[in-house]
Amino acid sequence: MSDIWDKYRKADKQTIVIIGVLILSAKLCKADGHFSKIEEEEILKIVPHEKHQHNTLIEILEDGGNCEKPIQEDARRLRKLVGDSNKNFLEFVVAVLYRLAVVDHVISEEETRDIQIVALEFGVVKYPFMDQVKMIADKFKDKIGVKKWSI
Amino acid sequence: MVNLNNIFNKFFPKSQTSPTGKKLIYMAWAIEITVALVGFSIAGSFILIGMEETKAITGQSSAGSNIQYFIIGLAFFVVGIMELTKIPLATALYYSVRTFWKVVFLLALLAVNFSTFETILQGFQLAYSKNTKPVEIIRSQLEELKDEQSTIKERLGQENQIDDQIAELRNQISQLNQQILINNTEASKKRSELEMQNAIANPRRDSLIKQIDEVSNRISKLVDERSKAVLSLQSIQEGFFNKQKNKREAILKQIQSYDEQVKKLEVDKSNLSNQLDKVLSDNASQNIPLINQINQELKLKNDELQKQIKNIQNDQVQPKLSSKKNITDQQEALLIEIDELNKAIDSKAKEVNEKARDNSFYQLAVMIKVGPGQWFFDEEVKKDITPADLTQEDMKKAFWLWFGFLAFIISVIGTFVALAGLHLMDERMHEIRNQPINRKNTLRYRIGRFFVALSKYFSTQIKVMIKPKTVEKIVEKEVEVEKIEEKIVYQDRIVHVDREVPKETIVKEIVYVPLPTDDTELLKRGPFKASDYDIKDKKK
Repeated sequence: MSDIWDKYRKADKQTIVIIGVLILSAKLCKADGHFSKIEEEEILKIVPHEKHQHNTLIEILEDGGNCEKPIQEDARRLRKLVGDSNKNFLEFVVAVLYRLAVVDHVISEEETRDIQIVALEFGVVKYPFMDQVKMIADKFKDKIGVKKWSI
Repeated sequence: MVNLNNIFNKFFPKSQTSPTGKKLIYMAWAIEITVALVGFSIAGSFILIGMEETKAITGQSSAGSNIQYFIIGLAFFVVGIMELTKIPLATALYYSVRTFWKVVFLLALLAVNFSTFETILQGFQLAYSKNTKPVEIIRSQLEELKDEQSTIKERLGQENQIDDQIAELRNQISQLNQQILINNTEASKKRSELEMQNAIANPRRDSLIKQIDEVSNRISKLVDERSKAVLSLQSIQEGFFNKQKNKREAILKQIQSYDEQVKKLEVDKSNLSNQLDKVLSDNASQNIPLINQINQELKLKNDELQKQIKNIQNDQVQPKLSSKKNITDQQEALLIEIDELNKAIDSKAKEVNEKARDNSFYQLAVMIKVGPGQWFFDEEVKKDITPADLTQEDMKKAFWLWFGFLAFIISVIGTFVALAGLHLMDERMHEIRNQPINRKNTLRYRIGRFFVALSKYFSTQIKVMIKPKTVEKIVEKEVEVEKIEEKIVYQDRIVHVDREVPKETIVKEIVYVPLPTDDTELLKRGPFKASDYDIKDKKK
């Protein structure tokens, strides 16, 4: 199966950015095992489109969902495409992913993980969750009697 | 190929305008920093120029004598820093919600803009004075020559002025004389009025006049009657037998009595006349003090007026006449001087034009005088204007029109660019933009509708005006009318033919209606015979 990014490589930059957002959305929705109809509708609700574009979007979502590459790679590509100067847009995409994650009222572990990966890759958060925990642990290292962490 | 650009624009609309907004903000900062640099430069130049001036005057540059220049320089330094607050103030104004803060920030922004205007104008003023200085020196010399020439021309023109002034003074004198005449007539009028009033006020005078009139009437009546009696005496004809002696004597007696009465009345009349004269003379003696007073007043008034006339003659008319004489004597010398000045002015004007040829500001001032000067300031430009023809007023006008306008634009453009940038970066703008525009309860919609209606009204009005008017006129034309000759038309004879009118006829028809029945009695009557099914069944 050919890469979805390669498939749309000749499109406009703006189109590719939207495709990237759709891929990330599809992969996040599929992270917990199944891509429900509600999630699909929610994606289409977030992405404002014309009637004639509906099928194209669904096709892209299916392709994105079927793609086996990790979400981290897609996030990296999107960040490269958008550029570091448009941090506002990248934050907006993270917010969109969070909205998709909570659409079924439960955020699964996989979804949390994927959002974290994307946010880290976008550079909108500084440290991964565990690193933040480690920093807190470092702060209280003396009080809890640890000189050096084993890992 | 798939194109989802529109989705991208709607998905994150800020991405479309935000970069442009950011660019505009950078540009606004660039403008403001440059303006601030102008302020700093002016501050520096003030300090440096001040130091140089102090050194030139005192020969040493001590800090004490330079302190005032430092203060002025620092003031302009503050102005430069103030320029940098413009964009933050514009941001505050843009995002402020409450009206109070909006007004406060707007006022602050206006104040900063005014300061920018002044700073830029100061910069332009420096450039203007630096550029125009070489030409201005020669131009000021030219102005001096022109002033000198106009002064001499004024002196020449004074002769006419003096003539006018003398004529005016003479007019004043004649007015004063007129006043004296009026005073005299008024006084005599008053005197006669006084006499008349006194006479009217005395009742004795009236009765005497009446009595005199009555006596005169009686005298005239008696004279008439006497003349009648004389006539009747002459008409008596005396004959031999008709002696009229008695009658004649009686008439003579009558005439005699008339004469006596007339004599007596004449005496009375003369007595009454004497009495009247006495009464009148008494009245006149009563008016004498009043008349004297009037005469005195008149004399005082006339003396004052005479004095004024004399003063005008001596103090004003005479000096004017002498100065006129002087001017007339100097006229030739002044004309020669004017000729010389004309030559000097021409050569200076050439020098000014030569120097100002490469100076863009003078060319601009000439253009403004020829163009907008004529269009907006009602200036009449008859000949070709050169820089030498420009006055100080023209230069000022050109400066304000050009540099003033430019300074105004520079002062406000930074703020407007910053506001535009903020607007483009604002997310609310996209939200408002994406709202449906067909809401009819908004002010915007109402205003829009108003303008649409207005434009429709005007367009119809213009159409009506442009449309050619059709005027109906009755034009009588002679049309040849063909004479219709009456022709005999032969008609066919009318033949009446009787035709049968179809009538409705009712025909009775017997319709066969089948009536199924198993009644044997009935069946026996009909044309058919019913088969005996029951009998057959029984046989079986």
